[in-house]
Amino acid sequence: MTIDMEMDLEYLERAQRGEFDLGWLRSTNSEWGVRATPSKTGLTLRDISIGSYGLIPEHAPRRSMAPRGSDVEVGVPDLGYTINDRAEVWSDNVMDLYEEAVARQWSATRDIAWNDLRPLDPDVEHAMCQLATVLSEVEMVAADFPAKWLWQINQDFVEAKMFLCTQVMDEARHAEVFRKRALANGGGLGKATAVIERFLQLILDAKSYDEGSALMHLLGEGIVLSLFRAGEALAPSPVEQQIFRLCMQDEARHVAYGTMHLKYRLAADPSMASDFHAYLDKGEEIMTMIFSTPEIVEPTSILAAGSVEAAMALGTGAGDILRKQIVGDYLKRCRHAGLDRAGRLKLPEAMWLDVPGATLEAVAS
Amino acid sequence: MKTAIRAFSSHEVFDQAIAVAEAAGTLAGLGAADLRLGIEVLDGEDKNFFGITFVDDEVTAIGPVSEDWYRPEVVLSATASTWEEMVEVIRVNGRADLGHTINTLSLANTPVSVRGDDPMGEDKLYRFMGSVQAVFDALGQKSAA
Repeated sequence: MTIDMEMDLEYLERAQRGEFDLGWLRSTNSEWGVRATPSKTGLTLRDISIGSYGLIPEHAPRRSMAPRGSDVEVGVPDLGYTINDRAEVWSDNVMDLYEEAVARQWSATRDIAWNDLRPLDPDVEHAMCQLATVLSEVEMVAADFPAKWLWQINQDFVEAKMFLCTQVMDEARHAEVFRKRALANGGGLGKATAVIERFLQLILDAKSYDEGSALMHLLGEGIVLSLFRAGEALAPSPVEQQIFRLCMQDEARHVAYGTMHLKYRLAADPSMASDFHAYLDKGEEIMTMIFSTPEIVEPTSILAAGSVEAAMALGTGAGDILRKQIVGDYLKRCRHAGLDRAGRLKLPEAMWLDVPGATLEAVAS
Repeated sequence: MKTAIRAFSSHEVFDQAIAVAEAAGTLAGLGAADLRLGIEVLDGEDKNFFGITFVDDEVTAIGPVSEDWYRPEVVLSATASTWEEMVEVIRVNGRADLGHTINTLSLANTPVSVRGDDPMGEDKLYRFMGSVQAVFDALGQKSAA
């Protein structure tokens, strides 16, 4: 059915005479009399997920922007959404994560004590700036990826779309804060490397949201979360410590979504486990190259040791804690989601050695 | 070695710290949180367990209680001497220094270990780390009073 999009002059003439249609008022077929009760903090998404409005379809019945639960006119156009199954984007914690994201926003302009920055040893400043360069680079892909898929996600899963919008804002702020840090203390931006760009390309070029989400939310952001945790510990001053702590909070939200989304997806269709293994195989192989890149390895080692000389004396030993944490946390999240990666890690042996659940025997098998 | 056990002898110590953080507007500024955090203090054979609950804009403390009763989502466990050193550093500096934040102390799972029934609980600690640290920073400030 097509809709006549020409102006209805007859209706306008009737309306001018006060002969209103009132069809929308008298015969709308949606649930009426709904009175959602606010929680202590206010009216949350969970509070309004009631009655027919809380029924989220497993498969969206149409591809329109009509709000879920509204009385949708026949003939609304097909807007071309390609993600029309709930399991493709949903996670059981997505409403709470949205509220959390909104409640815990911060400003890279106002909430960082930029005036407290003090001159650092030039090598340490250089290391901090190189790390800030990498983070400013990789964080923006975590805005580009959800943005690329958002318009393809059916409006019936609006809570998931809203959460992804918060992620776009979070990542913009992360790119902002690390760019600002690089330019705020006498340094500047460092090197952007091809190997990192290859991983970002893998995420952006993902053939499906499933593939990109596994690579980004679970693998990439899981690793960056560990980097933020390490950054808070290695920070050369309280200013960077505050930056890393605030970013850590945001990043952990994204990882929580990714983990629980994968869990939801696999619960709905366990046969997809092999697909997810294949996606993560590819991602881990590139991660292997990233973790043997001087622009990643050396700045963190120098920040951990406090100087180039001390870092060279220690080698990469200072990074052992970080790599154990990265692999251990990653394996735990995968297992929680229902995907046991312990037996097929593609990460370098040096990263998973001594990590519980990632023994040599397990990997060999 | 008994100092931290004494320092954390009741939930009132945490209540006072929470009050300090709330009065300063620190917790409100960080935003609503949702976390059941267990604090374990080990001292040889002795063990004390406390719960700090973040619900929306409210933070409350309880303890000593049993871990089974409190059912925390994540637990921070350390020896009494580790907690005492942390509190002393905060007391001297007014807040945790770079080496004595909860994140730094637990980064390698030592000297503060992090445990949860599932990784989502552990990740919640990271999601609300700012709020958790604000309470601990206020704990040190309160100890100075």
